[in-house]
Amino acid sequence: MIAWLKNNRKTSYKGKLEIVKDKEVLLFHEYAYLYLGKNQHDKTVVFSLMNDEFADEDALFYLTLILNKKQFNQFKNNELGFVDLLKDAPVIYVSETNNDNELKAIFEYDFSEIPADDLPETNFKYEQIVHTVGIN
Amino acid sequence: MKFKFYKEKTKCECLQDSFEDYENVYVRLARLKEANPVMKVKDFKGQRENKDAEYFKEFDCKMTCGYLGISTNIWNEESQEIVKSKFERINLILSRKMKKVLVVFKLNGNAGKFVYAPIIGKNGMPDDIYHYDFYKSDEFDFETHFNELQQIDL
Repeated sequence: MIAWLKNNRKTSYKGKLEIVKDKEVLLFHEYAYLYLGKNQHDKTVVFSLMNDEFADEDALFYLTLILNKKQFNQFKNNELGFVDLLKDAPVIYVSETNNDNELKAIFEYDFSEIPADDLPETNFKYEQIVHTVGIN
Repeated sequence: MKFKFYKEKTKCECLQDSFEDYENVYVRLARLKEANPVMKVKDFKGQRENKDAEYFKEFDCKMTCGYLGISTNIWNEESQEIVKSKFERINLILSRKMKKVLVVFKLNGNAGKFVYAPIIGKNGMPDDIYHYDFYKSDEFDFETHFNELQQIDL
């Protein structure tokens, strides 16, 4: 468990963050580091792994954002990095999932409340993550 | 070599098309403590190898074998740049306290067997064609069989 997560910041997640279609895993190695998809309201939800030190305990913690169409396009077109999106978000969700990415708990925070050490190392952009290996 | 450990976990034929390899060099992503950056037994195990047979019943054989095998990448002239780039991308998104290294290694005789296991990514395109799962033999002993050659900072 991440030390700063507080039970009184838990929120209900039904329909809010659950991906119901178009799931895409953008970065995978043993488990999903970055993935996205559409929730039941047709909004894009992005999950970015904070760390994997709890993976053996069947618990992964993701910084999670709901993006509207404009924000998602700005991310996909590399106009905004992920940290830019976090800064702009009215609320940042921290999702706890099991290793199969089934939601176990969701917490709500403001950007200013997330410790700097738990933010991504860089303001990474979509094109830095998504690439295709050339094969002959 | 015997592989009773895996047979007790699943009926899947995880070692089909497996091979021994004590010549080529491989890498494994590891999270090591900055104060004592030494690869240990706990850093060389399948993602879910500690789960029991009941747990694996809900997964198909591809998933089950993937969870039991140890993820490695072959490390040679052709693969180095692409493999390193993949793990550098992981580091871009993780928080700064989660620094990782690539541990370059070779194995000694009777350590176990590799299975070629390319990872298929977005739109069915190969995301990692240099990926292999390694299955430890029942005789595997980390001190005896694991030969660390180098650590590469990401």
